[in-house]
Amino acid sequence: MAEQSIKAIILCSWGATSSQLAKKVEEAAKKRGVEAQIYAGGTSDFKDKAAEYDVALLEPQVRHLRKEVNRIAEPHNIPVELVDQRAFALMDGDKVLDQVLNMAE
Amino acid sequence: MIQWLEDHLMEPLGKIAQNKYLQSIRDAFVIFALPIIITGSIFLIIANPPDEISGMPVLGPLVDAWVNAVEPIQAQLLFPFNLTFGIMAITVAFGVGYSLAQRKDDMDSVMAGILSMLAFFMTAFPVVDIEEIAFGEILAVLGGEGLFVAIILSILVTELMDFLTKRGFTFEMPASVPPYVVRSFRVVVPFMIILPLVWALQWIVYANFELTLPQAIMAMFQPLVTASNTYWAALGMILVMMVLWGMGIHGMNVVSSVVYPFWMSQLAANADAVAAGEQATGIVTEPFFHMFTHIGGSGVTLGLAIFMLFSASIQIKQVGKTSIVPSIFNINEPLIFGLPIVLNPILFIPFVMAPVVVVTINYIMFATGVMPPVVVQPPFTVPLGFGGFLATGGSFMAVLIQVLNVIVATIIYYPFFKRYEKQLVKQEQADAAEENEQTSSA
Repeated sequence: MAEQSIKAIILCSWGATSSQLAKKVEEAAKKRGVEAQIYAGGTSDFKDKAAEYDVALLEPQVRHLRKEVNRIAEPHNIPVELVDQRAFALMDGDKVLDQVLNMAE
Repeated sequence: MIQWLEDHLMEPLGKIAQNKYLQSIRDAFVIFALPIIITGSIFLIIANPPDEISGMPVLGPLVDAWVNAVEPIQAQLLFPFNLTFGIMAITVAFGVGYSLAQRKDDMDSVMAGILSMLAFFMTAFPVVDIEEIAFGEILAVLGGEGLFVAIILSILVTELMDFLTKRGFTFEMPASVPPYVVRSFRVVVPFMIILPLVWALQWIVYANFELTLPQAIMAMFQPLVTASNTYWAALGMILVMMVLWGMGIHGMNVVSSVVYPFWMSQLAANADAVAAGEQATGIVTEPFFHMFTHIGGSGVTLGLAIFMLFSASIQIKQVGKTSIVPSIFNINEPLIFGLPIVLNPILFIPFVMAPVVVVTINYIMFATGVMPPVVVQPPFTVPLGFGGFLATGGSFMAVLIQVLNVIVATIIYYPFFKRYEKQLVKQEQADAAEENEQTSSA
């Protein structure tokens, strides 16, 4: 997996903050020379293309949707985690990238 | 405490927010109906110049010229408006069927949407002979008045289609038949069963009560629609939203998934009234919250975000920097989780109080006619000023009230914010001192 490009999706309710965070994580990846494609979207977007992703992250304000996301992710063996609350608040792309890399291992 | 919340609150709330019917209804409005009615409302505004500007020095003559220009062609200008708002319920019927089918395994979403749309269309005619009625006469039913039937019928139709298909009421084709042929044959039996069923139902209802299904159902929902437009309803909605947000759950998301049909039927009724030159009475609509209450994001935090930039606390200042730009576009999740407001007893008080006061101001301003009613639903990210102007079809008074709301909310936040800031600064100094000690002793 390490050599391949990692595909991650960050989920929120409307896709507004997640696209901002996704951009930050991609920037962080570029800086570090990590091959990663980070997508953003709502939970319904995830259902359509779940198979395409390696990992899925949920933003803290939609953690009540975790069960549904887990249900979608399970058949595809995609790990699901919550974005660290502080990293989310500061839009800390580096920290979230670490989280993505950890999950993809 | 947090664990208890996770166990006892997240589960049931998750169930509401994840309910496939509620999600499909909201998607139907937000994804399918919104672009159409935004387009339509532009023509409504063009055909109805904002007359409060009429007396003003510079803009006044411009508006007068606008009035003169549109007067002879007002009916033509209203055509796109009448058509788009007039088929809102058809769009919603398609959207509900499509979105619900997408949430099911192995269903043809487009076909489910088309079948839902057709079924709803079939219930709209207050005659038994289709040639007895002009299209314009049923537009109201296909628009705002048909919303509830469109939703209910589409859910039933899609469920029935799913049931029939899975029970084998289809023509299964041999593997050699091309996929597009298979696709149409797979749904033709459900179509042939469901459409006549709906037609028979409409016929029975009409023959016995001289009412179409949408008219009958609307009569049932009317008391609820009326109740949803009261101050107490607005207050209840904002309280639930803010308490949920205080615990870190997207309150607007949960509440709107339940009340969206009510907001939309108020909005459609307002637009119709304005087009007809009558008094619009709908107050509690989506823009009531997104444009006039959640300015800077849920909880009217725009002023707070600005103050954060100049905070003496390192943490607050840092979060302020990442929050300010999204805040301008009414997105404040980073602020809510970073300040944090979530599970923060000091900031929770103004976080509930400020929007409650702002909702009260808004309700009074709309109810007394100080600002004109909402006729347009702008996307929730439209910034302060533009949002109020757009939503009310070009009212400067609405812009002033938006600004007033931010000021009032900021005043409410300020003392609590200062107290919390003091606490953080103290802690940060203590941490720094401890660190210093460690480095000097090492």
